[in-house]
Amino acid sequence: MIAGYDIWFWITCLLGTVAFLICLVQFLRGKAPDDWSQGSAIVLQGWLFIYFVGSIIMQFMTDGPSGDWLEYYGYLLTAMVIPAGAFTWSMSERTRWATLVLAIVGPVLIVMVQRMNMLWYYY
Amino acid sequence: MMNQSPTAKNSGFGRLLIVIYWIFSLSAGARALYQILRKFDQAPLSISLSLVSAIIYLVATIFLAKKDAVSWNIAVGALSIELLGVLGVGIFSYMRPDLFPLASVWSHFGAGYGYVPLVLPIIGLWWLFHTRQASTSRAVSK
Repeated sequence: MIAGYDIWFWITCLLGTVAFLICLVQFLRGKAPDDWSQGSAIVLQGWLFIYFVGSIIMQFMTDGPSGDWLEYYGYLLTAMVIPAGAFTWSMSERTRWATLVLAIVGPVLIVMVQRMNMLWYYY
Repeated sequence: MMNQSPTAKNSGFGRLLIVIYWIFSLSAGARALYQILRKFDQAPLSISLSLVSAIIYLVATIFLAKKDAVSWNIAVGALSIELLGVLGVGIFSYMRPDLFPLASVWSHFGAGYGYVPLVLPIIGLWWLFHTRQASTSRAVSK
């Protein structure tokens, strides 16, 4: 726990920020979605899968979230839709704007994982 | 971004708007669903309003993305209702806080969501009227 958040949050923070910066740079360069920007969404999606499996393991190893478990997994499943949706869009829409769409994924996930950390530890 | 060539509502900056609406319909919808399942009897009014706002966000997302002229009208309608909703619920939640023991998306003018719910329909309506010509004409240039 660093500053009240666990390693799940901080890794999400790191990956989300890096993904955001990569996509922002690609957007400013006027690039359509490419391996860099789409790859960043795939990495985030993969990370959320690991987080999902990790949450289930933590659910059985510990007492589970101190808040409502349904709310916690609701956030997690909603979060998992976001990179998938942005990636699907970027397949059909080959302009720089789809790159900007991919850029939003990281910051949105950071906010959601922050809420999940609150639900897990604090209420 | 704001060049002189006519832009349809679902291109350029409009794409960002569509995605923000999509994220809002997703998060408001998931939250409303959760609240209906778990604590509807605690705050029936604010939870019902959350569901209504989620539906309006979904309608706005779909009709901002569609290309035809009728969609422009429906999008303007959805965003107008959204703006009236956030203003109405915002004012009402300050006048009668007892009716809002749990926050809805629009209570206190969307303060829980960084006031994005208040700003979003204003920017959205501006964008719709900014792109009216290109969005309502038959020949939409991609």
